[in-house]
Amino acid sequence: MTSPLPPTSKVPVTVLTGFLGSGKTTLLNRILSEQHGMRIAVIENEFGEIGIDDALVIDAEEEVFEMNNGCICCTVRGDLIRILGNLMRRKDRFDHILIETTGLADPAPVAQTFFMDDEIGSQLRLDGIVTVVDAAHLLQHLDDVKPDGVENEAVEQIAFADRIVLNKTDLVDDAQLTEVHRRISEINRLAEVVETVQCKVDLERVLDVGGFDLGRALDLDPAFLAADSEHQHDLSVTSVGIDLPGELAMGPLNEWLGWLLSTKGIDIFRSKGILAVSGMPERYVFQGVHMLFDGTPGEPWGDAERGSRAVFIGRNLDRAELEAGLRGCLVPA
Amino acid sequence: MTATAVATAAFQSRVGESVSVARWCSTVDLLAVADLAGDITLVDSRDGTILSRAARHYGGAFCLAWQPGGPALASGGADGCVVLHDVVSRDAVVLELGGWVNAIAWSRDGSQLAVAAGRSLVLLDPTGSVLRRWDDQPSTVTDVVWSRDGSRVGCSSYGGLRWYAAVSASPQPVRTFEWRGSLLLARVSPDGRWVASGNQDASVHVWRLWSGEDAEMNGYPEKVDALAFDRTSRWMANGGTDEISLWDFSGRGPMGRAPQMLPGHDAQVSALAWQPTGDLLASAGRDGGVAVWAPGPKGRHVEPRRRVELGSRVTTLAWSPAGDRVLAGAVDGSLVAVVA
Repeated sequence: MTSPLPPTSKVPVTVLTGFLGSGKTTLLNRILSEQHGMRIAVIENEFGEIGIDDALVIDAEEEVFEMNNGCICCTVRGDLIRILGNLMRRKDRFDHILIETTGLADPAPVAQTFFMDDEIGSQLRLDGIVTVVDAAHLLQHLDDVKPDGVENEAVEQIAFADRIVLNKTDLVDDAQLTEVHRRISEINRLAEVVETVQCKVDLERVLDVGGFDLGRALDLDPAFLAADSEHQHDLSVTSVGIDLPGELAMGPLNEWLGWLLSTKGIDIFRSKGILAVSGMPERYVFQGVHMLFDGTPGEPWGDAERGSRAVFIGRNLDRAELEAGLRGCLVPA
Repeated sequence: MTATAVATAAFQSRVGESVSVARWCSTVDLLAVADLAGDITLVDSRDGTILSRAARHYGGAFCLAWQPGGPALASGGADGCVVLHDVVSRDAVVLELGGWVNAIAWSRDGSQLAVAAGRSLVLLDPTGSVLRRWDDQPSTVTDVVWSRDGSRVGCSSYGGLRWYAAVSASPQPVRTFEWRGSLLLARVSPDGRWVASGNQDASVHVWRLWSGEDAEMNGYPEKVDALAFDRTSRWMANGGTDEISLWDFSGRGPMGRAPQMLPGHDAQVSALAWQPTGDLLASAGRDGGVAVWAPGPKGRHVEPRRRVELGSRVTTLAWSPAGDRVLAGAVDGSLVAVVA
């Protein structure tokens, strides 16, 4: 485990989500009971059996509200603003904060809280959304038919995840495990999947994810981004990866991203990219949650071959349209 | 706290955890301090000596209020409890109301205590009996306010302000000021004409209490969590950025007027309090700076008349009843009484 952070750095926050029975509470207990020397605060909204040694456990009641800025998908968690605001004012600092959400909670308002409240954003950093799934029951949850307009929560939680802890792999055979992996990557190609039994996992693989860290080079494997015409299901939530050689022009790029997120932001859950922008010696890295977007120059390209890669995860995504949009930002050769 | 900063300090003291609120008693020489460890500390307000400390609110104490005209003290916190302290006998009555107790406020005559408890607005009498409660507010109640005459009690939350008749058991609000945003705090002007809220969405909203006419002041970079009316009700000061906005409420009110801006902090304004006996304004920043201002006619350049650095984010400012000192409490537990 990493050593306690210097006092000036932001305290990392992990969002732990998953259905009841997935093993989420087992993972939480493991995190709390392992000898890592960290002081951890847990914000939970499910009562569970939690072994506490050096941790503070706070109950939260999910309270989602819209920000009054004309953007209907800019929802935040009022309860978290209060609780996190309070934690930041305490003298005894925590090394890590865990937010446990129920399997029914929408992860978007949790993530957006870190974008929308400057006080929180200036002192805490969202490290990642970790979703625990039960290998034996995931397919059943994914195939649950929901009434019109109601999102399948299992799909949503996989779509938002930076890391997926695929638990109870001992309860399924190889064929089913392969199918589970295939279904997960259909929805979310960005999240790394960690197979576990009884949630036995190295803690740095769930507590040090860097899912929202623009400084950390995103590992967007081009093989993942290849067009997937071979299996076209009527899946409504998918990942679209784009891999484009050449140089993008900053002006058109900003315009296109702005247009895309403001018109399609409701359907785009997460977006991430590393782009080669004309005249910029660094990689331009960006990431977004719905309409909220954050972009900055990252590592210099150096001798590496310049090119752009982006991934969009969301509902009813049109690969051709997204690719044409990004292609439209290319500097004419 | 540095040695150079104490020149204008009447006294300094310290509690063990981050100070959430401090208040002076108007009848005896006492200061009450609530902190995030959940302790309620009583301090001698002449020299800062700590007189007693009691662990009262598990998870943190958030609010404090002295009963007008009496030495009874009420507090609330994360444990969902309101505690009524008899500071003479040191006895305490504990009432469990549930939720977080974010705010409490006595009616002006001290006969009733309004409590924001989770999603409920609760009225207590001074012995701790529940007089009335209005449950199932649209979201967690963030603040409670009284009309000037004490006939109406209001509560703020996401979605606006709701007013109830304090003497009536009716579950329906007598008035609702709807606003599609999250209200963090609410203040009624001393003349009873206006109510203003500081909001999560980086704005201030004001309503004329009787007509309901409203106005929005927006465009701040951050949420507005500090706001105060002066004793004459002419001026309202608010944060939302590192400058204080000073709005003129005389005549037709602030609509169509630009505020006077007072630059004096290097970080977001975190607390504001007007002198109860005069025209001075105390302000504090998230960086630990405290300033005392004598705002003059609009257009004149204004410099603070006092500056003190606490070195740690200031969370509360409280004027002494005589208006000669203002107490600042900070996240590191320090308390400094600044000479006005």
